[in-house]
Amino acid sequence: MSDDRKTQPAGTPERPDRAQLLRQLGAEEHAPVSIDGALVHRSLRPGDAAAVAAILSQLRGSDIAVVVRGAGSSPGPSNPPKRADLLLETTKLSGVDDFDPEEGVIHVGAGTRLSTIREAARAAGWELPLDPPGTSATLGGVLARAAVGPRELGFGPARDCVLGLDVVLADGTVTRCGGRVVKNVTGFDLARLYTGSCGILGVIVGAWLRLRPRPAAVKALRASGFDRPRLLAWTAEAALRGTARAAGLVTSGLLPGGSTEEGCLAWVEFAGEVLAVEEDANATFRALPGVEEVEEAAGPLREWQAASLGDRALRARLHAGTGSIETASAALEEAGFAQLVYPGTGTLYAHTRASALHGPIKILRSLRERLGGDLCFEEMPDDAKADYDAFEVSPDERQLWSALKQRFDSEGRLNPGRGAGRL
Amino acid sequence: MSVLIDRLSRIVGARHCLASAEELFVYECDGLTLDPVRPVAVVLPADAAEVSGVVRVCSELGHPVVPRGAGTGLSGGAQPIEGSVVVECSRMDRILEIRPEDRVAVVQPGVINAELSTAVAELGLFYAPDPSSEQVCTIGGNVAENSGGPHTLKYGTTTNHVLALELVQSDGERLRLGSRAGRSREFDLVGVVVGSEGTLGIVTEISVRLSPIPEGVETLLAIFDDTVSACRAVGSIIRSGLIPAALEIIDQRTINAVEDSVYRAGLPRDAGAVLIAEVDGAPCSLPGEVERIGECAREAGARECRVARDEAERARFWRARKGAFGAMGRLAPDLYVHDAVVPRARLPEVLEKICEIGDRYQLTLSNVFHAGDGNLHPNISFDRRNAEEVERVIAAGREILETCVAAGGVITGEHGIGVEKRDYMKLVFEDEDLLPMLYVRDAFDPERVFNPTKIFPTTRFCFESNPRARGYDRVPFK
Repeated sequence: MSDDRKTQPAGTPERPDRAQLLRQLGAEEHAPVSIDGALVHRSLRPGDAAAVAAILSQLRGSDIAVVVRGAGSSPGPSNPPKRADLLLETTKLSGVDDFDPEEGVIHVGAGTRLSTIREAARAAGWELPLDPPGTSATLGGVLARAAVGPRELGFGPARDCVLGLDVVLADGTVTRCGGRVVKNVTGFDLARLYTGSCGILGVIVGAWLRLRPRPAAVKALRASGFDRPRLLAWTAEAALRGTARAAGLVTSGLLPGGSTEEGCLAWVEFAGEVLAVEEDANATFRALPGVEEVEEAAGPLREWQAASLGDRALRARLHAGTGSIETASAALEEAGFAQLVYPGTGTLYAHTRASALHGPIKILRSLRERLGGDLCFEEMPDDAKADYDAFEVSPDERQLWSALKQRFDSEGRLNPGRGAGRL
Repeated sequence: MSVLIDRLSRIVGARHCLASAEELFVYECDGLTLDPVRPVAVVLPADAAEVSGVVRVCSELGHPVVPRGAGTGLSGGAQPIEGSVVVECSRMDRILEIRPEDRVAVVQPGVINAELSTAVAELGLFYAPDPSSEQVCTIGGNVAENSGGPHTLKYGTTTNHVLALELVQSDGERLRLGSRAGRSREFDLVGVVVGSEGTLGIVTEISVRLSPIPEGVETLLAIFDDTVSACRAVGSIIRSGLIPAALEIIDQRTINAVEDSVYRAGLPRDAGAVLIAEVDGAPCSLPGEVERIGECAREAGARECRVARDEAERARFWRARKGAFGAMGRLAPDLYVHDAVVPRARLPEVLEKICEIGDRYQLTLSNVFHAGDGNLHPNISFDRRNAEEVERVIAAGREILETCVAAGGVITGEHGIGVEKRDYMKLVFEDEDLLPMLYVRDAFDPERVFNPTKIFPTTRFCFESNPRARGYDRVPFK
């Protein structure tokens, strides 16, 4: 990775042998596609795992950098690629290959849209426990980023629904980890390692997922017109209830035009057995005046989770822990950040706009240090991406990820620069 | 050897460095007793700094390090290796911090599993992973094995409850992975350390998530004439959309062993099997859930369903379940506890085949298992002094695992691979599938200091001997 050859910027003119190799693979030149600001002129859409393996295998020993993408719709954090010679799109690796409705497990291609998996699951009485923002997200993209939505409170992190993965390594080796059963400690839990590693260790081409039974009842509530502390307390209390599946608060700074007429907005969702949902919803309904029952809570929260303040916007995600959520939220408010807060998972999305990011990022880092949490940057101006790593992992973790990258992709060809520490 | 002992003694104190034959005898194996190996020393460090020092010395002098919790593991994860030093973490048994507002506890690895739940009970919290050995096993050991337990069905295994770790590496450095606020969404390393069976380092501090004690709990005992019918009931319950906290099956041979022991719970001796089903959560919904489970059980052939009338009766049901392995000591001097997982819908047919295998090999085989997860525990009672019987035990065990894999299952759900199943890894994985695991081990422990002969098939030394030589991925493991 210290080789200069591997850090040349995207858009470097192609050497003849490189162009020839790309042509051999069928990757003809096309209009440039921007991947976090890096322009890629060639792309391939392999139709199955063997085709992915064949492409990567043929690239062994070359200096061609491959950037992998699903639908390209995830609003999560990402570092720009250091090099991007070939875009490998997984959208054709799609379809439900195996579905056991008795067991509630399903095997799908990485390019399958979540909406397709949801429909298949719903028809058999199950639900997919993944609800990240975006309507066109593919499973591979979601798992590469471990993306979750407001229902993380009820569903758990993305890793929890992954039973097994099919992964093609950087050298083209087709591998499998985990399995299709719901409990498994056969060897290292690689599925947890791949999930959320942003494709720097291998290309996810398929997955066994664990579905959840569809709840017998769902109720959603919305509250508004109160200041942040009061509404946050209401949301946090709701999130502690046994059937709470989503609970989030949007502060006024994030609302259109920074409107404060309604104060903050909050939604909560309960799902589960009928009587338990009724009990939790009724108690939450009574806890604050003016609460209304609504059709949906997770939908609006998903939209706010992906919201942007526009030009020169910074959206950071801070995991502060459930016990520190009020402290963190108050500190962010005082510093002028707009927020989406999920008290049940201890997560805050902090928004601001600034010509220079040094000040806001210093505040966020200081808060992370104080609370012992976890910080990343989901959105920032392109010109700032060179100065700030999107993933603020610790030096200890960066050292281990570097060692892993060396072993999984010794030539540094797979998504170079996209990982934590710009690996 | 005296240099090693001297240096280790200087770090942990002579009292906590064991090196005499009689002291080492008890560390020759863990719960897998088939192939004991004597270590050169056992050290009992008091804290992470001592662990670091011990690991540094062992690395320098070329002695493998075998981490050990309470030694209750059943796959030989804590079994010594020739020339190894066992690092037992039982003295590191302090709960360092409890943060009820975050529902987090920070513990040393030697904290006993059940003692953490006891310590936080007055706060309305508990630690969910509850292996049958919860009264003696340590949380450090649970992290190494990604331990489960009866309540995995609803609450998940250890990995779902670990937020952060401190890990001592082979150079003695201490790394912190994860944060107390929760694991990183992206670039999480905690998940691969949990369940790595002590091959990636020694865990010296663990931040765990605590769960609120459910408001209500109901436990039902369904009595069947045969085990297969009980399995069918489990499939029906899963299909009904319920997520019980636990679904456990005990077969007739186990029932009788339990009823003959101090764990007796008044289980009907003439039953072919009993199913313990537990639901927890809001009290208002529990009666309905119990009724639905009862309907599933009756439709599958249950001749009777009893709901525990009070906490005492519930505790009795669970005492029978959790004491089952101890009770089997009545059947024979030794017990081989197998562990495999199959899709739940395949439980009835797989169980029939397992019983047939036991009969064919003329072995005393009993079943007590986490049916809700499809996690089987076929238990073979035997006498290890009978070499011919041991051979039959091993042969039957292999057939059982092959049967489970053929049904779409895997060779371990919660006990781990250790030395017991390392040569069965290839029943589940191709050569290529093991490569990324080796990459991980190489990244964490390039010198192979920690538990070097565990997990991976023993027939692979030719390519492990030169891990840097790329191209070894094309060398078959045979």
